[in-house]
Amino acid sequence: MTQDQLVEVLRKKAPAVPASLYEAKDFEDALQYAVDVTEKKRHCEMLMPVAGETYGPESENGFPTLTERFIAAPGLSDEEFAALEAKAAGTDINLLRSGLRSHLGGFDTSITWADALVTDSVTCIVNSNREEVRLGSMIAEVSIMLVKKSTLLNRLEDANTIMLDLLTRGGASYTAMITGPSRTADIERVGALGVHGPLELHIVLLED
Amino acid sequence: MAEHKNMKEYHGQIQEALDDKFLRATLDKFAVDYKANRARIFEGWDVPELVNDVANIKDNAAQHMMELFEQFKAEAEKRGVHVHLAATGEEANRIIARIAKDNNCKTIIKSKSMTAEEIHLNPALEKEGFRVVETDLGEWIIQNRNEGPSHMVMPAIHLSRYQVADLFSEITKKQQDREDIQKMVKVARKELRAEYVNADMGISGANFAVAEAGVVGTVTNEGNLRLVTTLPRVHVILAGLEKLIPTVADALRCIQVLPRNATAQAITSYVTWIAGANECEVGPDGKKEMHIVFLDNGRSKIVQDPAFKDILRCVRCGACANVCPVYRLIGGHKMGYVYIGAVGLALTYLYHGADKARSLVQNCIGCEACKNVCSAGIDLPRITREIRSRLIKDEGNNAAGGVMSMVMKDRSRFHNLLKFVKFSQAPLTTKGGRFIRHLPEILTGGDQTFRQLPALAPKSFRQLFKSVVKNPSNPKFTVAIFSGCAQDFIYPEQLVAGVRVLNKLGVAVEFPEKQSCCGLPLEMMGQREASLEVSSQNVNGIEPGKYNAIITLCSSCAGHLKHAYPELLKGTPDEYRTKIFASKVMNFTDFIYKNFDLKPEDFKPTTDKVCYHSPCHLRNAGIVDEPRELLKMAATYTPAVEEDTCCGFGGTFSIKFPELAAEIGRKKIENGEASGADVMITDCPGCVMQLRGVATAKDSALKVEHMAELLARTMK
Repeated sequence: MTQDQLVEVLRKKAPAVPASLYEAKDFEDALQYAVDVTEKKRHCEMLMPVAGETYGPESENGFPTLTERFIAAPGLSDEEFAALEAKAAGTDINLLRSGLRSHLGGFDTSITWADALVTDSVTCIVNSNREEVRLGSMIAEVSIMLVKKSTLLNRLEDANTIMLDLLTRGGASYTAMITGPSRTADIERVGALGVHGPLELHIVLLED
Repeated sequence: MAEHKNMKEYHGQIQEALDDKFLRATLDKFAVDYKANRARIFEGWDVPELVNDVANIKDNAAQHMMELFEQFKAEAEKRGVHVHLAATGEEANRIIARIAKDNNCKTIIKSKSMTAEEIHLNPALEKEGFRVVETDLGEWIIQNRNEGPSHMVMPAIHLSRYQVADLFSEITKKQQDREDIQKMVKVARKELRAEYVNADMGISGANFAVAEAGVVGTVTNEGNLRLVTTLPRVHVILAGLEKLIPTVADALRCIQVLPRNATAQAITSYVTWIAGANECEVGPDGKKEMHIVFLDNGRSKIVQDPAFKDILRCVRCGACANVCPVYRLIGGHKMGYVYIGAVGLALTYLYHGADKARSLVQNCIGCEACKNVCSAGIDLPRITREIRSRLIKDEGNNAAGGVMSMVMKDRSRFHNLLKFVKFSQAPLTTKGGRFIRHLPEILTGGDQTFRQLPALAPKSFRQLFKSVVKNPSNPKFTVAIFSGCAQDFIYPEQLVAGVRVLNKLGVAVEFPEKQSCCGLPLEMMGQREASLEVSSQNVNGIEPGKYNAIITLCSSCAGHLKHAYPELLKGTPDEYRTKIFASKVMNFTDFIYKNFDLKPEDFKPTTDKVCYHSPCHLRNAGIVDEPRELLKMAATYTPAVEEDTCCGFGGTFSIKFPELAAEIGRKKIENGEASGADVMITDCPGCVMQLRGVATAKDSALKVEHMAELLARTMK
């Protein structure tokens, strides 16, 4: 399959996952998308409220919300993070690059690089060796995956090479295949998103 | 979790489940939805090829289990993991408790693991003073209700939203919305977050332990596993030895089937691959304290047993429960001990012992739906029959089994007994002598009032054959009829109709008289010795080389003769002959459809509206469209819903579990009635006995006939 065909498959299959797909003009545009998504969402729910702290209005679930907004992007390079800082300047968004264990009650958004994406199942393959990357993509209410078009794969079996590479580079490895948000159907088989992790998954597609 | 001392107690538990209206409605809907969703998600895939691949991968892995263990251990140890091997569940529990103690852990969080359920890990850890919290939503719910899972993938499927809401109100000490499931899920999201954060140890299971990379792969939807394996400083993985697999490529192939078969998803939200002690801010030296405990608990012995080794292929998709007509009625708490569904019957015997399994293994109709849906092609009904036969071998025969075995081994004794019954049944018959009156339970083994049982026919088919057959002088084919007991002695008119149809189509028919019962009822009762004897009698009583085909009008006989005989008689002097015999066996309807290119104009015009009941053993042989094509030509075919589900007969099953057979049978007849059909056609005398019996008992206008009878009536 050509790259264009793979993109077409992704466009067709992403909505059912569900995953929002955004085809960014460039990296700057991708970051702007992350900032926009974060600004538009309601403030993050605080899942571990501390007595005496001040919180915002209750969420639709009856939980307190944070008064500030946060984007966690622990996997971005220095240069990429600086670009994000520039985008977030002038907004009320705080950026987190490390220390996510101090924010386990919740934050709004995370930005994570995927190493590859299997278009047939819309599965992001994410090197999560770093604990901060794992936490970022699990604690955020909205998980944004950055995917380069050149890393698109057709079927799951085509992921064998990259999986072997990620799993056997030496040292420990924690590799995630992520297909949509955290989900359950454990109560009356009714589908529900965000049971432990992200409520939404966004895929931002980038040229190389 | 069905625990019972005896069959009587088990029947009581079954009745409780049957009376649970919510459970019944939920599982009914699930059974129908699952089939449709599964078909959709496998569209475009070569499913038999996939299943075959999984079977080969898992068989190869099982054969090299201990080599793979050594390879895995070496690879994992290179990356700082402590690898343990526990011979028993108790030992695994001790190892895990020791790890927790050595690392000064107090609170333990868990992601879902059936292996942990198998060894009763939670109570063992709680006994040692640890606090254990399940984090999979369903598992968390049932843990708080002190229950076991009722499905391997959906552990709380037996509970309503109201039960969950009430539980959550109790946990949060705040009244929760009793309707809004989305909000209930968020309650769990909030309540569990602090549990992850405060836990010292995380325990997870494994779907694959890949030897080439020392990596463990797990398939989850909720993502709780990622938090369980990330936040606490200690991580323990518990894996059965059968989870070892050689390569990542093997695991990826298996993942193509597992989620599709389990929940009709192309892939789950998360597949997590962990190799080595990963970065962990709160761990010693910034790394996890990581352990993998492999559990044997009989697995290394099972791999040596040819009759049971296939069970190690199981990937725990739970599909065998999803399609099981018994599971659909009573749910997992009554159809399993820890493991559930058809595989649960076998695993209970193999991992938890004969005491726990004795009654459970009787609760299989033998419809083989599980075999056809299994991710790894495990012949679960065969394994269940094998367990029944081992129980008899190890514990001695019961009275009914002993008598049946003695009678059936000797064909003339069996036939003389039937003659005796035929002459003495007259005072017990009703409805013109065609049915037996309802008899006291003591004689029938249970309440059989849900159906009107047939009386033996005045003349058997073997007595009628010569007066009926009119063989053509230049036959297109010469076939032998294998009559089977039900048609020979109860419904000879079905065989007579079959012979007339065959003769009309230019087929010469012979009836080899040395044939006996096919042996399937004996197998179902665990009477292996007698079953082998009658199988040998049949294979030697019909000369396969003389005939183009050995035709039977009984789908169950056909399935047994064709598919079970070669396996049963393997390694006996009859092995070679059996292969030829089996290759000649053909179902009547299949034979007619495939050999005669019939057209609508070959049938008389009729206003008969018919629906179909597809016998399990015919459907399992892949004969699905052929009977329907014939129906469309021979009558007006108005399909009923769920034509492809079991009728609930299962031979001795319906005697042992009449309460279940009754429910299944009634549903089938109701579906037939709703289709608007006048007649339900089927291809098996066992199904006729059940369905006509149920229809008659409930005074239904729906008639039940064998395909041969319809064809004999309508063919020009």
